[in-house]
Amino acid sequence: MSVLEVENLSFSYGNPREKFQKQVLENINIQVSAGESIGLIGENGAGKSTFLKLLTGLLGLEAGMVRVAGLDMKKENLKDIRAEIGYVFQDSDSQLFMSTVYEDVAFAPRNYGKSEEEVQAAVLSALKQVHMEEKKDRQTYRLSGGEKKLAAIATVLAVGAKLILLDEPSAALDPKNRRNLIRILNSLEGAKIIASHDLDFVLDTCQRVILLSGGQVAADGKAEEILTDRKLLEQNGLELPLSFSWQPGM
Amino acid sequence: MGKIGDAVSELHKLDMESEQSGWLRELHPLPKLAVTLFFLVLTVSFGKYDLPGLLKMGVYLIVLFVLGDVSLKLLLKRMRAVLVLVCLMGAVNPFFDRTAAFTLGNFVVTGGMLSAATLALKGIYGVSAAYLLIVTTSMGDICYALRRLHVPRMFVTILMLVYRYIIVLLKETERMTDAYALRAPGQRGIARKTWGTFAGQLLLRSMDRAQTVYDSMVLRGYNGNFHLRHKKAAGHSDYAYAFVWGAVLVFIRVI
Amino acid sequence: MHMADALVSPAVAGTMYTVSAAAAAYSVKKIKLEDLDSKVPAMGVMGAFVFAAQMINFTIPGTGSSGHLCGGMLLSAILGPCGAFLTMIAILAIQCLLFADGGLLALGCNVWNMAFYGCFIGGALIWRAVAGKKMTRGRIMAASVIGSVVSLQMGAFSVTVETLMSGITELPFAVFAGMMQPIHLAIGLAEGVITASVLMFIHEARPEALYGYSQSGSKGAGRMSRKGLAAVFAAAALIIGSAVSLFASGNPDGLEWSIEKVAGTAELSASGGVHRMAEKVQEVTAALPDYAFKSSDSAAGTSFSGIVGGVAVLAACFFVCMVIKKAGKGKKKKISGSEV
Repeated sequence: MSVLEVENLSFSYGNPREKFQKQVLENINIQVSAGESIGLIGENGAGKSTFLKLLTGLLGLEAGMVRVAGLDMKKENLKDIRAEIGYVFQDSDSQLFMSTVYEDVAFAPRNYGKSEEEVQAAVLSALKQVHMEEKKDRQTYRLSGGEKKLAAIATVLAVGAKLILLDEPSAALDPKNRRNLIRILNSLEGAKIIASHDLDFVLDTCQRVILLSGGQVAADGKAEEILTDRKLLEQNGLELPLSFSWQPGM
Repeated sequence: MGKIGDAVSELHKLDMESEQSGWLRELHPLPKLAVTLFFLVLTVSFGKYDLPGLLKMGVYLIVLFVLGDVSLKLLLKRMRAVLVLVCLMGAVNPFFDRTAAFTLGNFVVTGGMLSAATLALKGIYGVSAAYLLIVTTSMGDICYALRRLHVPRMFVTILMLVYRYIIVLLKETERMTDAYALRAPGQRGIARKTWGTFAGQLLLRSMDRAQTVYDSMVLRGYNGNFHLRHKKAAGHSDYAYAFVWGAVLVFIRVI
Repeated sequence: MHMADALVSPAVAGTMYTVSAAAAAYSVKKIKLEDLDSKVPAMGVMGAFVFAAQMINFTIPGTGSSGHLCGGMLLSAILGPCGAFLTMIAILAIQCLLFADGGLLALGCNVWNMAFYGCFIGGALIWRAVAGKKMTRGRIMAASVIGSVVSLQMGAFSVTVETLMSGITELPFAVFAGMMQPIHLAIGLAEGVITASVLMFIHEARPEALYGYSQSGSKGAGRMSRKGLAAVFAAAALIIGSAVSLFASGNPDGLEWSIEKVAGTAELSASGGVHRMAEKVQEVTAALPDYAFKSSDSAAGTSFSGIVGGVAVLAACFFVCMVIKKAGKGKKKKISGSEV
């Protein structure tokens, strides 16, 4: 079953009547199945962030179709769609706006009208999945960078999202926290789309990779194949993951 | 530019202090807030010569500091600014008010001296009472108490967010001022030419952050309502706290 | 200038809490009316920005000293006066609780002196009149400087009036005001120029971020109604005017009484909901001012033995507390209290 279907999605910034207009995405077609883990790669400006924002409805659809967990992207479905899809921002501080970890993770379930017992159960289960139970009463600003990222992931797990979008999750993490994040992401059940420049991280967390270039899908396939294809990567402004770059042919 | 770093570390220390355990910290925030305000009102209600009465009000502070296990070390630093202000105001009183109150041997104590002393004492009491409140009650709990007092939700939300992002933006500001200072050795602040761009950049970044915060809220179902954790209702000990202090303070005030 | 609790009497504190609360209630209502709820997160983050930005030292050329920016003006230019006012209250509350800048009881005064004038006089009236819809660099500069100077002058004057009305200092009115006003004139000028520099940068980089920046078709992005402005201005004018005239009369008792009268009537001119709210607040605070406590208005009433007695009570209290603490029964806090 697909948790996400994207058909003929195009998007451009700027007013169509004015001269300044930039085509960011062009005719994207993607299907994501339940539980799948997908790396979204591409150089700066390839359209990764725009793509993620369109999936959550933060940007309005211009052309094409997006369907999340069987729900068409339109205004009346937004609330339900956002219960199915979670967005983990690159900047955890912007995501964690409540004073304590518990309050922050509880934010979404409360907005969805859960009773306080349900909220508590959801929060504890979400925190357990990211191994943060013990930090639940901690002030959010006193968490380390790695802990903030995990707490941010817990905030989207708390509503039971079937699809989690992560924008540069490994940015600014030290090696230990990075390894820990990989382990936790791999243990989560839902589908994931991980937008990242850290190709090694993508290799460790995703089976499938979608390469965006100039607003179009340049490649969509198995992670090992795309991430080892030096020619393809270099054509699209990327470099081989470090773990492959020692290979013969240098 | 140590000022910003100082502010950040001050906030951290206050937080650590309020995370200690103890009966005072476990009390419901509402009676604590109410008693604090009541204490302050009574304190400032003392006449300017009523030093003896004002001294007795210190009972409240002593009891809470000693029995509430509240550390004094952060308090003294906070006192500085207020004492300077209050002393400046009070310092003139002995010159303008020379009515004799009583004599101590050959020394005549004047009304001005008494009023200067009460002014300083009120300053000390005011800072101490607010300090006792904040080190035993987290900002989240104070926001909760404000909601219980029917302070509009919109305002409480703003208050929570300002508190949440102070540290984030202080650190960002510190990085910027450090980066500036490193490239402008010998300058004591931000030069005139860069006033607008320096703070303006920070402002634009803050606006972008505000947008991300808003997006992140909307994605998690925000619709203009901020829900706070429901604390368990005030219990007997909370009522007792408010009632006993209310009675004791009134007693001190009227004797 | 942040006022400390020591500088206010219960009557002054209560009155200023009431008028500030009324202005806050008006702002909340106005924001809801204009459907600007979505701006609430921005208010929070921008509040933190102002908090941080006020710690930046801007070097004032030729003086060797440094200035800061004027939060009320800056926030009003971006969030509109009502949003700015609520945000400033949050900043002042946090400054008072976490940094001991200004007292908890004096918060009402501080909100009025610093946030009200900055947001509604500087940020609404003057900004709108001078910068207007067609913002240019010159107009932004003029509006910011005039706005900061005027709002700081009003603020400083209010500090003087509030302190003197509280009967705290023996300083004659003329001396006190003569000290406060010129200092705040200089501060106001510096703050105005700094604030203008920031706003001019925003005007260049992202003009649409400025509140009320003329975009065709937008419903005036929540300009304050003429009536609202008039009410706010009338309230301010009445309070200040009455304070001045009452000082001229030189009767401090009459002063306190009539200022409350005036504050009461000033609220009448505000809209219904605000007035109801103000009434409610006033009912609560009315019991506090001038409650008939033991009279202690003459210095002769205070004796040395009284002071010694006071100190003795504190010493006894401390001793008892220590004993209780040592005994390890932290819960029995009241024993010492009732021994007074």
